[in-house]
Amino acid sequence: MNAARDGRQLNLVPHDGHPVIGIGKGLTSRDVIDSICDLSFKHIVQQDGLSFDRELRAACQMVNDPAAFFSNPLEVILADAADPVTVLRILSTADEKKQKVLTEFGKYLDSLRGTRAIVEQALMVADELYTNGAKNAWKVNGCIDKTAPARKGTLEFFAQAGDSRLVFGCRDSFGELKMTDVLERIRKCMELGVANAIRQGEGGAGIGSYMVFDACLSYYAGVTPGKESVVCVTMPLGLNRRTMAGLPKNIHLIA
Amino acid sequence: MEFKSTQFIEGETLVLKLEGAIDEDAAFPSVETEKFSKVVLDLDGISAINSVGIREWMEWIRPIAAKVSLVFRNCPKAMVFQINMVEGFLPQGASVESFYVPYYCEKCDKEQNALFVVGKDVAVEGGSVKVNFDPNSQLQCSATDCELEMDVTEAKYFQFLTR
Repeated sequence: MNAARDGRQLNLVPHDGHPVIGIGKGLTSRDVIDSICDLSFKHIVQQDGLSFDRELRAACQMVNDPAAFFSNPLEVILADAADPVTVLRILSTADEKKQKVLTEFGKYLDSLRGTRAIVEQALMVADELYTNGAKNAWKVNGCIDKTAPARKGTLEFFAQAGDSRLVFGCRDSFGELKMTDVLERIRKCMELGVANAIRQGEGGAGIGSYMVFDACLSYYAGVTPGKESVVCVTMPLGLNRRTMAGLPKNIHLIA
Repeated sequence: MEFKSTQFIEGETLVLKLEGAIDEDAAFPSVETEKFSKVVLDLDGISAINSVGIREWMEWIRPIAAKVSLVFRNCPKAMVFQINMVEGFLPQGASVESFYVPYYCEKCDKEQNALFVVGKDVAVEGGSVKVNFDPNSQLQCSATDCELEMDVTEAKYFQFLTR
């Protein structure tokens, strides 16, 4: 058992042989973020979550062989459940518009089975991931400066379906994502509420990270400083919204 | 879908029909609040909203709500989610006239959105929400054994009605 910041006992124990993997049960979203920020875990995997065995296997693989995650996050996350014909990859440069990616992803979602209840949220998450990725890739003082010449680099949007989960996310070729900042922004939105976070100067990126975490089932992120950042999520396939709302979240970080 | 707005004037009421995605490219219309006593936002055509859109929305709506009576009409799911999640997204004193609620039938594998009129299809009685909507008589489905069920968690989705 581990204690939360407020002294509550969390149903969370380290996984055998992997002290950075926490095995939890019934943890709230807030518990998950607090456990990552305050304790020494890099992964929280919930026993009562969807695809627990595969989530745990992915966590172990990310710890043992982080390069495998950077090389092919879809394979690490979906493993033997991956449907090979559902791979989507869209490579963008600084000149391309977000709308192109969202339109293509929207068509992709329509072509898959079991996406009815997640389409709107998945498009919102894709929007946030792509926008944040683009900001990190082609930023000037944290914003995309449309007048400045863009530095060379790419942003890849990827997706694949498994038997019960859809994985999608973004990879940039810069590796400047600050995971501690992202986690603190999410926590700030949870603590203060989104409106207060906005009032306290939290920009779109902070609210966006919170919205992504709130909407997804599992959040995966890895950063190789100066080389690449990968952020992706899983969402459930074939479930109704009421069932989805009751599922606990997982998180996996390499940073 | 690109954001656009259309204005209609009905006596002292300004009806603003908003359509498309509320994001960094959305240009909100200026509202001459001194000319109207009430502003109705018809949100039926809103397809999506992102985090930048939320921030822009909050900045746009606050001064309008401070000066006129503000009503949200035909709120799609995306807007209901934000109303519940972001305090002030529906400014204090503003009200929701109608909003969409998703219904789903597993047998038909079909989703339909029902438009709930506040006070008629859903009401707050003694601090709790009471739904008066009968999906089987009010939504269209060709299958005789169709079993439409509300596909949201009521306590969460209707939260804004009890604030």
